[in-house]
Amino acid sequence: MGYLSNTELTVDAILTKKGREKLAAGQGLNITQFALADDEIDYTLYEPAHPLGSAYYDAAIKNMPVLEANPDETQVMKYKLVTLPKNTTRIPVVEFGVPNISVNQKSGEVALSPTTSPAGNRSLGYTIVLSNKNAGDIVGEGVTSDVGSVPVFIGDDVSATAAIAKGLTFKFIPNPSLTSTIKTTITVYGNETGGSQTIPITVTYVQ
Amino acid sequence: MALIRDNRGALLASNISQYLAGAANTAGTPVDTNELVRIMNQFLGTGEQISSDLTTITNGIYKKFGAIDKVSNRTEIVTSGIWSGDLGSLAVNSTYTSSTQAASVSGKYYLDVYNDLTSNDGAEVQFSIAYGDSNGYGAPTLTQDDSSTLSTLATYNQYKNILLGSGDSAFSVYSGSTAGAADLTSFYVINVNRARYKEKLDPGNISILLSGTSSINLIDDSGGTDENVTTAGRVYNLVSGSLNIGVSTTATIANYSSPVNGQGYGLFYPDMGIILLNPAALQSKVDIKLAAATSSAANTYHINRGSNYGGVALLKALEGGADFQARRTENVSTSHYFVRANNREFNFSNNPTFVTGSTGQFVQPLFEKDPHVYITSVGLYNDANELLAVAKTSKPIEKSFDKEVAIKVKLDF
Repeated sequence: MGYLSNTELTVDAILTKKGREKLAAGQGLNITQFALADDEIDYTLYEPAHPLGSAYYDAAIKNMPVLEANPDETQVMKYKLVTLPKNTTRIPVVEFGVPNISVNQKSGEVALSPTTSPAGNRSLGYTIVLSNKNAGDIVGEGVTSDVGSVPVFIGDDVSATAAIAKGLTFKFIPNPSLTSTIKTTITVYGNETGGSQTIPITVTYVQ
Repeated sequence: MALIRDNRGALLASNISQYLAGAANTAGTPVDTNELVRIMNQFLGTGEQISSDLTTITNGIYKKFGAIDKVSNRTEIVTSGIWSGDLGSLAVNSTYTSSTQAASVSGKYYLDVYNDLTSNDGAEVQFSIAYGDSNGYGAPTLTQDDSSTLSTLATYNQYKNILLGSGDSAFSVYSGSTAGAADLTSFYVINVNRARYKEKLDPGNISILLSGTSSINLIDDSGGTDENVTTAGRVYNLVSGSLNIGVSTTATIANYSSPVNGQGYGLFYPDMGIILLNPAALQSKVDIKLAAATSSAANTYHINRGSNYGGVALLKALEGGADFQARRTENVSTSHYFVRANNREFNFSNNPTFVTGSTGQFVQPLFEKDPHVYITSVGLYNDANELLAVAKTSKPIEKSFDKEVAIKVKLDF
C-alpha cells in the first residue's frame, strides 16, 4: 500500500498595489470573482512527438518552476484562460481591422470598430487603451458604463498617461492642439474573451 | 453531511416533485437548476447549503465566487521568531553595536544592538539596551555638568510613565516569594525593536541566557501565574528557569527571586516589547559588573561606561549566554477563496503561444479536439474587474475538458 500524495492545491495570495490602496482607503476589498492565467507558459513546448509517449507531451511545461507573484497588477494576469464551447477550433481574435492608424491633428475623428473573429464580446464590448492621451481622446459607445471593465487592470502609472474607454464602437479624436508629432500605441481588449491587439498610432503635427 | 428525514424529508421530496411536475406540464420551460438548489437549500443548514453557482458554467475570462466559495475575515494567530530572518534565537555579539550611535547624544541613553557588524549589508537593529535610575545615578548631575540631560533619571521616568499607572511611582518585583514586594529604583531595559516584535511578544516563549562569572537563564512566569493586565498591557515577572522546549509541555521555574539578595529578576511587558532587568538581582547571580550605579560623576554614563560595566556588562553577559530566544505573535486577518474551475471552464488561453498565425488557430492541432492549458496564476477581482490580489501556483496545473481544478487561495492582510 502506497502513500497518498499530500500535495495540496493551496496557494498564498499577495495584495496588488491596487488592493493595498483599497485597504488603506478603508474601502475593503470586495473580491467577487476570479480569473486564471498562464503567463509563463510557452505552448510550443508541448511536444506530441515526445519519444516517451503521450504522458510526456507536456513534460517540459509541467515541470517548469513558476516565478513568484508580482504585486504590480499591470505585470501579472496578462494571458487569461477563457471558457469557450468544447468544439471551439479557434481562439477568438480581437482586431481593429487596420494595421495602424496615421492621421494629422486636424483630420477630425476616426471611427474604430473592433471585431472578434469568429465571435464574442458583443455584450460587454471592448476596452481601448490609448497609451499617450496627449495624442487625442477616445470615446466609446454601445455599452453601459457599469458593465464590465478592463480585462487587464490599467495601473495608476498607466492611467496617468493613458486614455481609456469602453464600448462596442469608438471614436478617436486627434488632439488639435498638438505642437509636435506623437507616435504611440493603441490597444483593444475584449471584455469577454480577453484577447487583445496593439497597433501603432501616429498623429502628425501640422501648422 | 446533512441528514434530511421524517417529515422534513417527505416535504423536500414533495416540493421537488411539485416543481418538476410543474416544469414538465409547461411547454418550453426547462428545468431550472437554480430553482432546484433553492428548494434544497430551504432544508439545509448554514454551511451545508449548495451553491447554485456550482451548476453555472461561466463564460469568458471571469467567474463569480459562489456563496460557499469565500471564507472571509477569519483571524489567525501567527507566531514566529522575532529576530531578523524570523530567527527565534539570537547569539548576541558585543561588537555588533554602532560606534557612531554610541558616541552620539543617544549613546548617553541607550545602545543599539545589531545582528551583524554595522559595516555589513543586512545589519539591522534587534534591540536596544538602556539604563534608568530614579535617583539619577549613572549620569552627571547638573552640578557636575551644566549640559547634563540627566539621562538615567529621564529614562526611569520615561518608562515609568509608559508602563505604570499614574498612582504608581516605582516598578515592583518579587521579594522572596512575595510578588511585587520590592521596588526597583533602577533597571536595565531591553527594548525590542518594533520591526522585530511587530504586534507583541509571545509570553511563555522568551528565554534569556546571561553568563558572566556565573550564569542564569531567565524566562517569564506566564505559565505559572494568573494573567496580570495593566495599563501597559500584560506584565509578567522574570524568573530563573527553563522553557523545556522539546522536552516538556510546561516550563520549569527554578527561582522567583535571587537566592542571594531575595529580589526578583525583573519584569516582562510582552505587549510593549519591553524587558526590565533588576541590576541588584543580576549582580548577585551573573556578574558584579552589572550592579546598579551608586553615584553620579562627570562624563560617566552607566549605559556606556566602558570597562565592561553597566550597560556594556549586560551586553557582555548576553554575549556570554549566546542564546536570546523570543517569539512574536500577531493576529492576522485571513480570507480563504475556493477557486473552482469545472471540467467545461477555462480550457482555452489567450496566451500568444497558444495560437499560431493571425486567425486564432491552435498552435497544436491536438488542441482542436482536446485542448490543454496550464494554470500558473490566480487573480482575485472586484466587480469593476480591478485585480486586487494575485497568487501563483508552485508549478503549472493542467486543465482540460476531463480535468477539474479546485485551488484554495489564502489571503492574509
